[in-house]
Amino acid sequence: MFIYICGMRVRDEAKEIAIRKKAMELIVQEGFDGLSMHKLAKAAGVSVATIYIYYKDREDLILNLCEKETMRMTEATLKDFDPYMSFGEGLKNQWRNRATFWLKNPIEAQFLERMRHSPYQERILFFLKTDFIEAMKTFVHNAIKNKELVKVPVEVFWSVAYAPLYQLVKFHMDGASFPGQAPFVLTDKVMNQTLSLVVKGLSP
Amino acid sequence: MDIQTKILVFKTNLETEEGIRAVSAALNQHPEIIRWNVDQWDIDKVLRIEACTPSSPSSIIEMIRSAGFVCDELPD
Repeated sequence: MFIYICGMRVRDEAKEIAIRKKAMELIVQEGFDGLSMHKLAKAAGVSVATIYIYYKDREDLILNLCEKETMRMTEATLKDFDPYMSFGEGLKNQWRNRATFWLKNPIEAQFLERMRHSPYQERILFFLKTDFIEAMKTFVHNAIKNKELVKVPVEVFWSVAYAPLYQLVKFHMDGASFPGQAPFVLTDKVMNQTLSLVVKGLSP
Repeated sequence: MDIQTKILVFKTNLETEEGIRAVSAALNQHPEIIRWNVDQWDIDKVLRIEACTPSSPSSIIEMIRSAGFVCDELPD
């Protein structure tokens, strides 16, 4: 089967979106080995040949996804963020942005999570734009300077400042925290309650 | 001016670097082929070719086969 393209402009957006979405789903559900072009074609409702219109090969597809989705995520994370905000305000903004991104884009978020802990982690780091990294660094340094934040190694900081949020998001996505527990929803109240403990814990 | 480009995909057994090297020269010299690659991860070892129209898939199939490799249209 051969596909004719006029100057490479003839693309079917809907098909392209379906291919990307299904590729991420397959990787999240079955790992990399689960992503064969045949499986993907079937899941996306296209022919294998169609996938090759948009991507040179499987690697090209995966790298493209890494790049685009990292970009979308950092954009969402930086929404209304100012690195010179107070520590409490800034962290609240970050929690809000990150939770919203995860809840609105669960497949994309889980895909990025997988990539971060895979042989592709270097590429993810490479695709993280400098302005995102700089904004996060400036935020922390500024908070330390203003005596709002205690100075600790980055792993310690991140584990206290962000890990609780991601855990709450996971509980929410699972519907509940532990077997036998009541159903759980990540409400503003729960988020703010957890956030205030985090900010308190990180105060000098 | 738009150059008419076509994507051709073939199922092959080009599994090794040597296999790919064996057909490289011929693919690189083929007048209608703009660029090509083999998806080595894929089970069908898909040979993907960006070709200018008109181009004949059969000449490419012939070329790969005469080098001793499998080459067929990719089934849907």
